[in-house]
Amino acid sequence: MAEKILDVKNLVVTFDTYQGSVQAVRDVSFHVNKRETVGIVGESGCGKSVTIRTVMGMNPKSNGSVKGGQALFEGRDVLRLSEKDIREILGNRMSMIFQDPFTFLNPTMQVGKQITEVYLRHHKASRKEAEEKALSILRLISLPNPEQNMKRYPHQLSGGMRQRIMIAMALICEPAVLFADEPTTALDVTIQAQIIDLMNSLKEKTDTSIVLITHDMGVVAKMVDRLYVMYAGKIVEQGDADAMFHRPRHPYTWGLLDSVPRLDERTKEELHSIPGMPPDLIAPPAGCPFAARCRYAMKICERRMPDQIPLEEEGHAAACWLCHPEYVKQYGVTSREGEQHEA
Amino acid sequence: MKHENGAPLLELKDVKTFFKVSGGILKAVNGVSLTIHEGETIGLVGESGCGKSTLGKTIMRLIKPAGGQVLFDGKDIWTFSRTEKKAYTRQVQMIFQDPYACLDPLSVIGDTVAEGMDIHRMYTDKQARGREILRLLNDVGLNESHQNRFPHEFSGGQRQRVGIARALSLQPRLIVCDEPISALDVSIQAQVVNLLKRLQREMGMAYLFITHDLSMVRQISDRIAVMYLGNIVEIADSEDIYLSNRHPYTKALLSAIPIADPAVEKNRERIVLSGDVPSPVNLPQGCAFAGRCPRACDQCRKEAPRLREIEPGHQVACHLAE
Amino acid sequence: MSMENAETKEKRIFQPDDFEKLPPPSQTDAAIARKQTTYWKDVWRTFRKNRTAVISLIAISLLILMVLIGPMMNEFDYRTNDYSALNQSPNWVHWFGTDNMGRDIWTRVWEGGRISLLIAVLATLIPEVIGMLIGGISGYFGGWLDTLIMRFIDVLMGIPSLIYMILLMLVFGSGSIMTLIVAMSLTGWMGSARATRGLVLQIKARDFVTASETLGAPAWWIIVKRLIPNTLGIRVVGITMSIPSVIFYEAFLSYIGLGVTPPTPSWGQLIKAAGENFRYYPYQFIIPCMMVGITMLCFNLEGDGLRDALDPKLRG
Repeated sequence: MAEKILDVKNLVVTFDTYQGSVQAVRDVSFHVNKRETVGIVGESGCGKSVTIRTVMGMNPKSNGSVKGGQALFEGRDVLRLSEKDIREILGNRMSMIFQDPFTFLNPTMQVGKQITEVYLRHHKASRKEAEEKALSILRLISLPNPEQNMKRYPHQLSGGMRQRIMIAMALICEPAVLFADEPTTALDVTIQAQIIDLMNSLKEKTDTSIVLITHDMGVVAKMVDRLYVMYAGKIVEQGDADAMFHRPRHPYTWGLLDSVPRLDERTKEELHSIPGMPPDLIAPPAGCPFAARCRYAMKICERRMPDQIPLEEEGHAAACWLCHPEYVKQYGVTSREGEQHEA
Repeated sequence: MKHENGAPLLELKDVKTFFKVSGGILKAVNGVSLTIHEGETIGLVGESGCGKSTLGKTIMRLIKPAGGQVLFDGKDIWTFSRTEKKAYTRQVQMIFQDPYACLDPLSVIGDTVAEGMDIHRMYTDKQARGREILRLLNDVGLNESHQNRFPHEFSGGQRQRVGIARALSLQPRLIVCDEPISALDVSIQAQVVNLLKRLQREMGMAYLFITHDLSMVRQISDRIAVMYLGNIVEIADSEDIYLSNRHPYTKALLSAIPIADPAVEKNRERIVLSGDVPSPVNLPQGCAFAGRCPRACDQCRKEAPRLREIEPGHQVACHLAE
Repeated sequence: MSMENAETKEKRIFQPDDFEKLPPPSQTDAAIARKQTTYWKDVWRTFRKNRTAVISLIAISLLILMVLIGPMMNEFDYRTNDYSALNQSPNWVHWFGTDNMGRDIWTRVWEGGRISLLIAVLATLIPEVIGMLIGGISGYFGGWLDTLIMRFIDVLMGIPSLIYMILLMLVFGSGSIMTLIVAMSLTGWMGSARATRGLVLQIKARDFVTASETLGAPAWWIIVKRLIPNTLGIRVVGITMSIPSVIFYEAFLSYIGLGVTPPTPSWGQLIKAAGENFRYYPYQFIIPCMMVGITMLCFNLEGDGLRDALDPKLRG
């Protein structure tokens, strides 16, 4: 039975800038179960990074404000915790790895020390115990020569090794949730494959759930059990990996999947692309934010934003009027190629 | 095949570009030979450190090679006179990787697009110049309302398109595209690639498309060259690289690229290379890939293989390939 | 779950044309919605929030206004001697009093201000321009030229610029404003050259400079149109902060008799003339000193504010 460990409901995050309020996250709800990998995909500006950073309490209070919603984690709403309580959780029960390990690591400190520091911050232990723990984590993630490499400085390590160090730092306290914000985007393809394998192996070796934020559908396909597709601050479709990749129902998801050229497919004359650009979130449209770029847009799409409409499979839902029972009753189901079928 | 007719536009003959660094000599490009014909697209792929960007800059006359020749229309570009140097800039142009750094933040994009035309004094009449700027902006999907805006007001994809308009303004015969889409969102990448393909159909220029994205390069290239640590390890027609590749590195590279389909992913044959990409400083004797190659033998470690043709139009640098 | 019932009910009602298809999306980009904002508008906005800096800016503006119209506000000029009104304390006729030759100090202070500020501005801008060009050339070309110029500057800067100025003024012969400005320009360009060169090295590496090169731009085009304008944003702080130093140098040189010579008033001149009688007529000394001090302070504070406004991390 799936056990929810993180439950985010109706999150609203707005940034006040001098040009107006940027509604970065508009009523987003998602959850993470134990021992699963969840993907949040979308392109730049869709709000996926802001969502995660808000849940982790990392938005500076001065210009990022949570205007609504809650994030239940281990019995508490992390959005309403004090600074002190958030600091206890970060790195300990929830941790994060980022795109660029080089800027994340302290260039003047040995990497081993950086790992043990995280452990000692959250546990009362001796330095020796912390080092033992660090070594065990490094062996878990298959870092070659852990004893030697622990004494190295970040600039002496390759990109892939640095990413592994960052993963070790994130895992040493055995968190319940690991957020990974574009963890492989800056890596070479062959190294990326290694890191993906490593993160997949964590599912068996540890109890940590992973939330993967990325725009790379290929990486998503290799790693996630369930995924959410975000656009302009909203979740437009969600479901398990099989349903989302093989039976997606939202035109943006179609566009996203069609835009990605596949290694195993022959050259097409023209790549599918989505015309235009995402809306400016200072003045987001009242209806569906994708309407201006959608081939299937209808008048109602400009007027009202659809709710998440549950689809046939468990957990699969899309926020699209094409899926609404009223529409389906009158016109049938719209397929990815644009044809209408009987309901 | 587009390229069977006539003399090549650009020919690289055993080009070597080296840099002196603190640890020794960095052999960024270590003996590359390549031919680009009028109107064709050559994809140049490889991971970081393989030398593809350096090769692009060598072709642009930005870095002088330590050895070998770069011939444009048969003439060595390093023997150019001053007028020929200037004329070369009208023949060969470049698009850059980072849309956030490739435009002068203090110039409106109309002026940025016109920079080449202004340098070469192509339009003395202000009106004609203005019309040409609009025409170029329209070509890349922008319009009149954009021309007096500054780069920071545009998205990454739009900035990249401004860069393309700027490169087009001189009507070049070859455009070197240095990772032009790596910094863009996926759906915008497709927009830009479609734009490049359309422009090529309309204007007939050749592209050298440098990238690490093997999925995307298939959509635009006629031929693809795979680079590793300064050498081309395999070069063939596009489809042959994917369907009948011979070099172990090509195979490993292709198997590492994720496919956006979980069912396909589960059933793929995977070759996961161990270790990291070695540094191009102080290269080992023998094949540069021998250290990570699952099939390396003694000969591989002793003797560096040269590119040899195993089928018409398909060359591989590997002792063990047939 | 968090929606009201009335709203939910409303959402279930459909209009007859709701499901009518819209025209297909446009392929070209829409015009940009946001108002145009330039870099400097942004900087001004941040600057405005810094009260101290804004007050300093207002003070500087007032100062400039006063040096322009101050001398005309009363009927006295700066050089007429009035032996019947020697060394008067500030009063209703002579607002700042008179000096030991009966000259009206109010008029002399503002006239002197004109000279001091003129020298300050010219002796800051001219070396800046020289320094930018030299720094730009040095940074762009690199190699032996860069090394040569930088080592030359290193050697020159080993000696404090005040010493150079004193020596140059001794050689030129003091007196005219032009010679003073020339002397200051010859010694003031080095800091600007170094700073510009450092910035140019960073900017040179950016793709838009490479783009200009590949478009066939000659060296001067790149230096003058691409590199130097992109350094101005940061250099403007350096320029603003140089002004107080120049004001000080002028005052000092005039004080030791090597700067502006009488009867041309400058603040340094006024301070020198009042120095001997400081104990008896302190106002003659204090007033021009305050002018120098306040001006230096205001430019420094305003320069600080400008630097903060330009710092991308502090922008809101």
